[in-house]
Amino acid sequence: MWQYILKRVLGLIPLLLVVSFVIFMFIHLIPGDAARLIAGKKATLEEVQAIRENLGLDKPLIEQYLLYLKDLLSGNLGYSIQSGAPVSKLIGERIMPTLGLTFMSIGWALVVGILLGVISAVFRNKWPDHLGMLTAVSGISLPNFWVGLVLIQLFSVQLGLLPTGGAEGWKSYLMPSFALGAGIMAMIARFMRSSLVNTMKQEYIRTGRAKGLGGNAIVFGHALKNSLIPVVTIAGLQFGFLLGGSVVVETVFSFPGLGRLLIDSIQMRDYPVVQAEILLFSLQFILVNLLVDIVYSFLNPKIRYQ
Amino acid sequence: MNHILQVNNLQTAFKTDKGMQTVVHGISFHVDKGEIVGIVGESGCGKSVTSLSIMRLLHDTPGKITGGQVIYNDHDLLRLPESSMKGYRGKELAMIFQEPMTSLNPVLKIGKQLREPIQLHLKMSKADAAEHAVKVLESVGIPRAKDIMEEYPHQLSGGMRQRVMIAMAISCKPSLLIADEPTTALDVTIQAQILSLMKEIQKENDMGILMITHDLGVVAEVCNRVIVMYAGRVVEETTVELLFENPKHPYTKGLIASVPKIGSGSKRLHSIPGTVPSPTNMPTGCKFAPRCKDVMDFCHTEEPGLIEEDGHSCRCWLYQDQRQGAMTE
Repeated sequence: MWQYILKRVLGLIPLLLVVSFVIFMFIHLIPGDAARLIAGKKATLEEVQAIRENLGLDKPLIEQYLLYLKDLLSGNLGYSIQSGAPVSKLIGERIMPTLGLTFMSIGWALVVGILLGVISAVFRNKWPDHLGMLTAVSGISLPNFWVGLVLIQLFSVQLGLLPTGGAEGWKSYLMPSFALGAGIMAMIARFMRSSLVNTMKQEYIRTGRAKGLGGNAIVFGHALKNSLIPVVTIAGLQFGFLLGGSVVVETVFSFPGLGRLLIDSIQMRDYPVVQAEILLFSLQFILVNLLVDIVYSFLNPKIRYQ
Repeated sequence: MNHILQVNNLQTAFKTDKGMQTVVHGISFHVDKGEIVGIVGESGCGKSVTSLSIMRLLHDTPGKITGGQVIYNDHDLLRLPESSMKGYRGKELAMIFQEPMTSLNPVLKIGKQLREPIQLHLKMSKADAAEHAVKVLESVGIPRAKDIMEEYPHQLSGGMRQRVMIAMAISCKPSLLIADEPTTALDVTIQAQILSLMKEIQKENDMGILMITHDLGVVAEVCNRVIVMYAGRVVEETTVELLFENPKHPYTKGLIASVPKIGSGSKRLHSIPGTVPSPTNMPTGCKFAPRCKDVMDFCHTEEPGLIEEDGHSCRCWLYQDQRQGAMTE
């Protein structure tokens, strides 16, 4: 098991190099001259040239990339063109609220989604199934910004129970995590249901029944573990997206997360921040993928032994 | 009355787009203590559905038992509530299936899967059940049984997996073992091993075995008595000796003729023309008539009854006149 994880982690190193290279090159494909942008409109050619040399922008691209990589490894993500603040500080301020929101959203979505999916599958085509799937369809169909607005109207404006926005204290996380998790919960419930229904048709389930096992032992002891792989896949994907921050929900709740930082810096042409954020998102996705693969190997011993 | 299992007029139907379609039409037979009874027939003749109906394992299928009795130890299993039926499955009646590959749960260790029925029915602790499981594994000829308890199904070969299935089935010493095509998915050499193992454990535990198969070779090898099924009906029933010496029903004759024989030269292998009719498209009269080489005119209109003579039953107009058949139906 540990060997498998170690192997996978080591495999990430070349992947990260490729990703950082691609991101670096893409940013340099964007038209415009960073030195001119920093110097401002009134700067003379000499001033622009000085900035260019100072930042090493006159060097060949490959050399620039290696320098960028060296800075990256020493934890230096560069400085924001807009505010001059270190990029690491800007991202550091936003990452904790986004992480908190992500874990809360995915957490409740997983618990409720799996529960709803299992109930629907066990009572297939009976009323608990119809109720569960109605909930799921609503979760998928209602846009999260609208859910957010309704929640604010109800819990903040009418009842005055929860803050309308910000990221101070757990209370301000409740509504955004509900708005973000609703769709994911619905998706997980649907995947869980169809996967469990399919598993219940497998021959080893019949073997379990032939041994005299009852319904609960069959569903929880034999079927659930076999049905979780599609659920883990979809939850992992959503987890990755959430880590990037959600622009819409963060805007509705004035939430200081990574999504808004990205949009703001794109609008300001703040390339060092954009570059660092894209790199961070890639890294997060890669890590989530690794996590998903590790969970797979726990669920299915065949993957572990390959 | 030595019957451990007595099936009376069992009927099972499947829900389809065209309504309920009966696939098992009033089957009756019995299995005695220490006896191996074979049910033979082509795919789709209802033999597997019959075995699942006896165990009441039609969950998650569109099948439903619509009539008849399955008497085990003076109890009609079909009248038991599901909660009591659970106590019979794995304890009194056990079952092994065709595909040892897919019949074991791929994500659970062999040990856990073996312990389950033992802990459930024999009320043993986890440790005692594990010890018991190792003993049963050894009794079905599995080497390094202790190690295998910690392994997953995909780490074992097909033959080993089927041995594990047999171990699981006999772990609580059932009186009846239902084996649904237990050797079909295995290599020929492994088939012979599994069959001799089944005969051996049958003698040791004095169980009855109901062997569902399409393979007359298997029947000749292990069975005492044979039931030939066609289109959800019993068409012939007798001892193995009589069946091979003097098959009566044209269908049985066809089946026996289609088994390849050593020394028969390069002659083309016999095959019965046509296929088993589907439940939605059953011929009237004798269900085998459209494929029968001895067919007579009224075979297409009237269905013969199952008539017994000297321990040899047969459902065919060749052996009865029309009036007699109509009376027994």
